[in-house]
Amino acid sequence: MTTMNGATVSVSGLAKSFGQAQAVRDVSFNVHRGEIFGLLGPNGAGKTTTIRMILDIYKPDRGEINVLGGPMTEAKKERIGYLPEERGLYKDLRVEECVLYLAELKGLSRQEARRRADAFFERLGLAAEKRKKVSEFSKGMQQKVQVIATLIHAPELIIIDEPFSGLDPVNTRLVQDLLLEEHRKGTTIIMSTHQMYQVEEMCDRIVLIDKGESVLYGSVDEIRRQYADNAVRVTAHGELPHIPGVLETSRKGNTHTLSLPKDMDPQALLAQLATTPGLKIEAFELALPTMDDIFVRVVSGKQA
Amino acid sequence: MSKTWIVLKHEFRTIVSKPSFWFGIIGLPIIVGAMVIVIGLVSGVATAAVVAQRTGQPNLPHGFVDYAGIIRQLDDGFEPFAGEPEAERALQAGAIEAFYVIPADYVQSGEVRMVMKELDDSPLGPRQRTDDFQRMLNRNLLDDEALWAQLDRQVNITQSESVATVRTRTGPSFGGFSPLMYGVALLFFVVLMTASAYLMQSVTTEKENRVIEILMSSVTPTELLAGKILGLSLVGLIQLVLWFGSAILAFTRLPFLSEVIGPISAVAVLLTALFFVLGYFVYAGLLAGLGALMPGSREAAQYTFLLLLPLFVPIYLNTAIAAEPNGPLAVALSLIPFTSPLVMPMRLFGASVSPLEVAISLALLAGLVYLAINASGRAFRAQALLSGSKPTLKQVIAAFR
Repeated sequence: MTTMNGATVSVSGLAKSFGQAQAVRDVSFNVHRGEIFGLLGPNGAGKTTTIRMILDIYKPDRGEINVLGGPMTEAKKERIGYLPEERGLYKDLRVEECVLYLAELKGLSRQEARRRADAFFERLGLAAEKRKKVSEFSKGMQQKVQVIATLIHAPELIIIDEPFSGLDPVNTRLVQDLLLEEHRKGTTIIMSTHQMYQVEEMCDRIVLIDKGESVLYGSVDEIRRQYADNAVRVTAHGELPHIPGVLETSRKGNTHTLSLPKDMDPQALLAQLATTPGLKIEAFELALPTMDDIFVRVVSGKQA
Repeated sequence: MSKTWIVLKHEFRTIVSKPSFWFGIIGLPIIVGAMVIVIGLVSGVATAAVVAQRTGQPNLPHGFVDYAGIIRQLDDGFEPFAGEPEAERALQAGAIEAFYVIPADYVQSGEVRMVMKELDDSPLGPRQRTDDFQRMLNRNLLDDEALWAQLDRQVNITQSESVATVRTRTGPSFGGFSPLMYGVALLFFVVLMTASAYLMQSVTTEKENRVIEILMSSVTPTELLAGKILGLSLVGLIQLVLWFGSAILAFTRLPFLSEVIGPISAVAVLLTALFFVLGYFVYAGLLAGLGALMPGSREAAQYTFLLLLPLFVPIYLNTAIAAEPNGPLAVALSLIPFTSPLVMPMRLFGASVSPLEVAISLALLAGLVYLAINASGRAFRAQALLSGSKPTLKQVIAAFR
């Protein structure tokens, strides 16, 4: 289900204060159905407060939030899976009991919750240990259980805060695969993370929040193009000729990065290189900045 | 299914699945019962040993020298002597435990001298049979068996309850100490403290384990608080029923204990259960609110004592309350809603309480339940539950307002 503007989540002019501290000043964005949406920002930017307002844990001082076709209701909470950054489990409970309780709170019957939990335990290699206490599990195993508790009720919207924090590469891949699988099923995912390579790899669109305001919003590809200098990256065997107008050239192995004047067309450069005798071009691409570079530039005020 | 019901079931299941809970519920009464039996046995053996040591051999007769010529019919265990020297010799030889000297002017003076090897006023000493000697002396003085049978007969007084009072019988009291009243107060104190502590622990554990934010995305704070309070009140009731029930069973089935306690009124039991539930709601509500405000159990413990302080008052003043169950102190404490959950049951089991007093006490307590749950609800909010910092005392008071 989507809101009137076609978004699964729509946030407009959101603001929230705690006493004298203004946590969120003016945040707006839409999350489209079926996309992976990145909620980015430095520590203390207001991401977690924004998520809590979307989930109706906090009431906003100002602004409008629509989730799954309208304002949040208690019934809608059962259609959302949430994995907060500050997350944990009942350490003294058995793993199975912990998952069943959280699943029941999401509207599943105990029998259905048990059936689905068993399938997840089997898949993630926890079936033999489901009767152990949570405290007996390693941190990585506990993270798997938390992901099971987030996904067990097959939510239409998943909100996940720092999903890869504290995970080793194997478990990072595991959680990433589970999220991508949900994405393929059409589930909408809002992901808050500091790991920019994960954003580039997984997210369709992002909003960057800084000091409680949205400062960057759009598709990942568009933003990278928007922030790209006029530069190309060429991987080739052989010596590159001197090309008039190229501002700067750097080389790493067989890959050359060429900074071009704003009015210079990369296509013309490619045509010129292609006709250079003795030069075998393996790759030619626009040198787009990483999301990491863009994050740092925007947050530290070096916007292009 | 209501979220409150799911939380209720979870809280109940979590506590009753802990071995420590059942150890407390079943193990503690067994240990206390075993201790009572062992102490009783040890005490019995010790008493027999003391008696044997005191007398050399048990059941030695008492002698008497009757200068007044009153005793003509002897009771068992008494032996006449012609004069004091003979009686003295028998005492020194260990043939008698003591002897009495009835002077010739006994009828005028009423004086009798008792002679024993060493002066001994203890209940296990020779004085234990002076009542029997007095009965033998009186019977012989009266010299009329029919009249003596009338005088010596035990008067049988039966007790009944008036319709105008909740309780009419003044329970057995041992110099201001009523075992039943003290037992009820102590039982309530322990169960209220335990159940309230379970509740606060449940809230602080969810904060410490960082499950609280996941819960907040599924249930409202009100549903969570209601589920916890109701679930753990069930735990407290089970604890109360098992302990109270087994205590009543023991006291009614064991003759010695039933004499100590006396009959137990069903009305008093029912009202006691009501006072317990309301009392639990007050203290559980306040502790849940405190748990919500504090980042962890360690920080919460610093304020717990302050909130539970009123429960200690009836325990400290138990003797004064039991000595005068309808006195101003007991009546006042049974009306003040912070102490009434303990003091009113004490009075119900130990004195006559008018229905009006019970009604006023219940009304005041119900009012405090409303205020405590409301205050707790104000504290039990998402912002407090998700906060990781310790509030100041001023902030705690402000949160409850």
